[in-house]
Amino acid sequence: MRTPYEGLLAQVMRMPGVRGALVVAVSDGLVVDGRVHVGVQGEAVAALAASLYRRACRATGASERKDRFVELEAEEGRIMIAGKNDLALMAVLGRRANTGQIRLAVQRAAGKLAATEGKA
Amino acid sequence: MVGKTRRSLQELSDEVATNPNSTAFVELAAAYRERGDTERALRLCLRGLQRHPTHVEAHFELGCIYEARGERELALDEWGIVRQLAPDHLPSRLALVRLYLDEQRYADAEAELSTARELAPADKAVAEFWRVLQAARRDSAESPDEGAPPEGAFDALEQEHPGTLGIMLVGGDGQVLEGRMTRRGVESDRMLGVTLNGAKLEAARVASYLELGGLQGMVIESAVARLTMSPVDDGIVVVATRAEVPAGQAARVVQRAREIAGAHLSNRKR
Repeated sequence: MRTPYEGLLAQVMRMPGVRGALVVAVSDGLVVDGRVHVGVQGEAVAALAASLYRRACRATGASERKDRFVELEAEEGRIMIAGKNDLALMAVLGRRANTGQIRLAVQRAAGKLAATEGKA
Repeated sequence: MVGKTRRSLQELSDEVATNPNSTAFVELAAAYRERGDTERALRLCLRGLQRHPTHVEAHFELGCIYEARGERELALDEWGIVRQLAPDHLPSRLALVRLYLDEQRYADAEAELSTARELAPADKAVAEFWRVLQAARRDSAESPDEGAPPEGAFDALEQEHPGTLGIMLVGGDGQVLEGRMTRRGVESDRMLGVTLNGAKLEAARVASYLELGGLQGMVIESAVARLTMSPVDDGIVVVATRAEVPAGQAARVVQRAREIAGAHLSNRKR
């Protein structure tokens, strides 16, 4: 089934080292749309990362409804989350991914996502 | 304002109302402050800084407003930001000197005054502050460093990297062990320490559950600032930089802060 987010997800997924890209509702951590490689637990990523994103926004005293970018760095990979309104774009990266390039792609896609939401 | 005809409150209000991007809010806030309406001046200045976060005169004016409200720590922080954004801004240097003299922090006053003298060797206010400083020193008959607060572990690093807003080391129990976040008071730093420590624990659980291995760090970015937290022993070192600082440079500050934090924790254990 085609969704309005296919293009955005494809933009992120085409970057080498990206193992998953998801559009997630921040308030409840549910997946709206996503593409993940085998072995990546998309729904778990969405639920846990959305909770972390909300906490990070609270920790910095900022509204969740402003441009935000949160990155979790671990030994075997990273998770990037960018968003503005209730929908956020998440990417799961492998250890050898080009972080700088993917960060740009995620932020760009999140900007388009926010614009899409504005129109919705 | 030097070299400008002062505009009426009405003219300034109209300009700010019709053009939200105008920087006339600084002049308008100063006018409200001078009339004693510091509440309105503060609101106006904070709102203006959201649109113009690196506006030097706006930060300077905000410091003046805080001073007028008796919030000296916040005033010092704000003028410290001006010093970082525009090291040759003489009024902020002199404002810092004035507060340092009031607080009998003569070593700090002398350091600021030395820079001010290099910036404006013939300035009358600078000369007058020198005279006051010398007299105060004679009266108290103290050594230059007496009364100065001990240097923090991260102070030198912050000064080396002007875009740094604050660095602090938080223990595993959420207590701030060293450093501070500028612009916020001690209590805010404590709250931030506890909350970020909780965020670290959650991030570590997420990384573990998703089989990503041990947590190495977390970055939170907004339009104005970047907050990086990185585990050190069972605690975290938190570094805040301005958003315009390149990510690579911020990463170098974080790396250095981690080394300093590690050494600090080792010393505490001894």
